[in-house]
Amino acid sequence: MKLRILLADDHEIVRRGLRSLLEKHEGWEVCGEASDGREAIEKALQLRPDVVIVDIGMPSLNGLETTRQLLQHDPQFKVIVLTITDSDQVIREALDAGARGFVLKSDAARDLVSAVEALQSKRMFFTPRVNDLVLAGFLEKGQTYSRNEAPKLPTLTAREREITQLLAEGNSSKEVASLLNLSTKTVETHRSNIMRKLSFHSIRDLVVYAIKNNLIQIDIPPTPKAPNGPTAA
Amino acid sequence: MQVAAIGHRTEFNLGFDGLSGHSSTAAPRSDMATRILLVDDHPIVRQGLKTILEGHSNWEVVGEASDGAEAIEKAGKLNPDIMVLDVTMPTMNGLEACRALRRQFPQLEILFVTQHDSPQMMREALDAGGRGYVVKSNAARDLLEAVEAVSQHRVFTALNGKSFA
Repeated sequence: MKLRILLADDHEIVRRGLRSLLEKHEGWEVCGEASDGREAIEKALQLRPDVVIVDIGMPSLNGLETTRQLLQHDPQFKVIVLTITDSDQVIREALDAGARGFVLKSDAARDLVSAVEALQSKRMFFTPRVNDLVLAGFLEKGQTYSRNEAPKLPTLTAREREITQLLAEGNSSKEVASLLNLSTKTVETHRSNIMRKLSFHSIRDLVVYAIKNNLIQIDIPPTPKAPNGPTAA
Repeated sequence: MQVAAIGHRTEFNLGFDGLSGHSSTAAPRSDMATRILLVDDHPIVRQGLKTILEGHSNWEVVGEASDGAEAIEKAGKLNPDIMVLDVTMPTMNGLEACRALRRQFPQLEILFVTQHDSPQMMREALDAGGRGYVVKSNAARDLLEAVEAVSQHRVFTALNGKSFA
């Protein structure tokens, strides 16, 4: 029986590349694709894949929240998180969320097959840099990593984190309500609670918070240089 | 060499006219194919682009590069007709690379495929010498049409669901 994999990334071009990579492996099949976190959850519950590969930076519902919700539905789901950033915080949040694999997108062509193989054998997989960071944290700070460690977002509920992301992405309360099948009044109440808990006074504060806590990812365009400026060797 | 490249492109266009890319008079693919170089710092994105492009019988992905400097080096070695070029890359970004490429390889057409869904970035890319600009989130939808247009020296830009050929 083939190992069934669900892909979740908002870029179809990335999903095509991942599919092409994974389907070269005999015995594996990509059973479905999703372009955001909500669709990923819906399809995972419908298709019951053996492995779910989720991009962290998806709109509407990011990969970390998707991972948390998937595992709340069923702890048996095995999730590999794909990300462009490997900061200590992102790594810990991925672990907190319950991911069993963590792969950098830049290294996906090299590491993703190994990651799926590891999960197939009921092992965890993290790209080498992640292992180095986690180990360094153990040795230098004398910490022991525990699943019970308080996450970086201790005061917000899962629903509040969802709403924070949607508001930070520029959705109005009415639009958030529509996306989440809630009343506008309920969203407004959540919004007030979020602002109060985090001591924020403006939506700008919320956006900065969302960026710092990887609820949304931003693109930083290159700084334009003069045509006759220096170029890299 | 450049004259030969132009001749190939002209024959290629005749082969396309009204025949959807298939012609009983078309030369074998390796002689007639439009040569495409893919440049993106993520191998998985390059793989996705390649999967889409190689379904087209008259296009050939002749090489890949992961930053602007490597793109310039490989353009010199592989003589592509079209370069599919990302903007944000380490070492040398796509805008810088495009300016350098247009000076060194004036016949080379450049199609930007980027995350930046921004009219300003698009203008900068075209000012740098790009012929096309497609956003990665829509690349699977727009790429074929974009490469087709750029191969015929037509401008193609697509932002946020809108295409302009």
